[in-house]
Amino acid sequence: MLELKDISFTYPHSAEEIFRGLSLSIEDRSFVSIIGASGSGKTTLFRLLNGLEEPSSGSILLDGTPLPVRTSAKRQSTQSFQNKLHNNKTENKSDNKTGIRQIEGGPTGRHAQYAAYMPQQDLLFPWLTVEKNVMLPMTIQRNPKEEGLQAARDMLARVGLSEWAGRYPRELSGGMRQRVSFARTLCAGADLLLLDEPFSALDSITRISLQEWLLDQWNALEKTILFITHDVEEAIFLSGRILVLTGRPVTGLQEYTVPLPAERTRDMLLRPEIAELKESLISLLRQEAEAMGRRDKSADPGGAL
Amino acid sequence: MNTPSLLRRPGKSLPASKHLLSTGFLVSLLVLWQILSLWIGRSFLLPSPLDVAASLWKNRTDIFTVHLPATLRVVAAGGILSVLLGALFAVTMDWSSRLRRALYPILTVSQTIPVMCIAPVLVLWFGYTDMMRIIVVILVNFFTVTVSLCDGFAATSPQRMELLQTYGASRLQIFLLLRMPTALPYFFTALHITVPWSVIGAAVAEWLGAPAGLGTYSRTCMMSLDAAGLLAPLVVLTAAALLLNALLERVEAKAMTWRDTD
Repeated sequence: MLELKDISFTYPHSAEEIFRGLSLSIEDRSFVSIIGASGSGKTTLFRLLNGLEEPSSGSILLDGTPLPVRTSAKRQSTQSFQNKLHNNKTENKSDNKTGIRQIEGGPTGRHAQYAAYMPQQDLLFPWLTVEKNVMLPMTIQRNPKEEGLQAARDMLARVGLSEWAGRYPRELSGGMRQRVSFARTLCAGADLLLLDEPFSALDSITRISLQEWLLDQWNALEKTILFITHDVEEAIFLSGRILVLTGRPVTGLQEYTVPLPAERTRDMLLRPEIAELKESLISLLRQEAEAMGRRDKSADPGGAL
Repeated sequence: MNTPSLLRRPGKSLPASKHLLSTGFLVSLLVLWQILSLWIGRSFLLPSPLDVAASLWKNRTDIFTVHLPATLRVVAAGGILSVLLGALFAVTMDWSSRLRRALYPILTVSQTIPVMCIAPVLVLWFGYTDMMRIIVVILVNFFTVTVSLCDGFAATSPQRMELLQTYGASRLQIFLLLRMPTALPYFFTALHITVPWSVIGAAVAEWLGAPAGLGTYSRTCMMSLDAAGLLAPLVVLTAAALLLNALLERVEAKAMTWRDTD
């Protein structure tokens, strides 16, 4: 269980507050989408969760324990804390989860992070082969090389790209690169995956097949997925719960539950209750975008577009 | 900013027709030169290409066994040391912005002083030794390496840096896994400039005075108004620089196979 309690955040050197007293909780192994107009703070929320930014006030709790901060200056001291946190976690879970990590070949521990971030662009390193790219998180966590390579190959098999292990990223299509990027995210060994609009740069056919693919992955893996998107239909198709960021600063989230089973198919999107949900989400986002336009205009009368 | 040497694909030779064109142009230039010098008729003013070739052939033992090795020794030592020194400065300045602010202006100013003006001071300190000539080569070259590498480090994608940070990467890991590979194409561009300038630097230093070397040989010929003899070692120097660059391209293609896999 991941909880945000009373989070406030303002970027340094900026006057505009992004979050004020924001709280939310994410259950383990759920698939939650976060939507919102552009500039609504979706990416900022992820930056707080993956430790690139620190909340100005409030706390982020993982199973009741506050997350350590991970800014570069404090990394050394927090590393050991993270280890402890992680070890406790694996101990607690070892009875009900029969060593899933080992089976998957993910990192078995020492430096694993709690959240793994998958960016919008694949950000693969062009000078590394596909398998070296995938094992990057394990390289950084100083796992033995053979272990990392083995994990990378397992992950590539999982995403169906085994035969591409020795190739370079530029030889792959956009959809394949996103799958490699997903495999790399898995290799970080975290239970929480933060996916930041991973399919937004793909063509619609590739996107649809990757959505189905991701759903299969989530059903097979025991992971929690937080998924940012600006595509309402994508959010509905993938997630159990949809959170909408509104207002500036964001003080709370509008929450919607998707009335579909975990195992779902595209034709379920045609159901009337889904169409209704889609309509209400779209009208909410539209209102929000208009409100944001008005806010920007009043805040900056000279720079109206 | 784009990676500079992406423009030039090492390891992939130009189509034969392009080679044909440049070779044809070179040959016609040489023919023109030959005609011009025959027309002027004074080989101490303008020796013909054939005169130069004849002079080169006549003194081949001296040129290739005494002077060429002496020059190449300085080129190699000076070139390698200037790359090491230049890289050291670049890495230091990339690591600490404070050191960067302290060093960069001084290095820039150091480049405004013509090497030819400092060289006599070096002669004073080191005499007409290899050491003096190696230092001249270093002074000519190190800054190119420093600037190119600094540019290369600065070209690192901030998104990739943040991604590595979310994996918990240390500064050193980010440098080794991301900043260095990003700068590699820039480094090779710098090397391609360093090769000919090491040769030029060595020859210039020899003009000041040296027991042996192609520059020295050339200078001696000038003293005796032997224009063909003056030009002959220059042909050898050019050929040496071209050969070294060709060798470098092979290394570059090996080091960056990921760019050329289609």
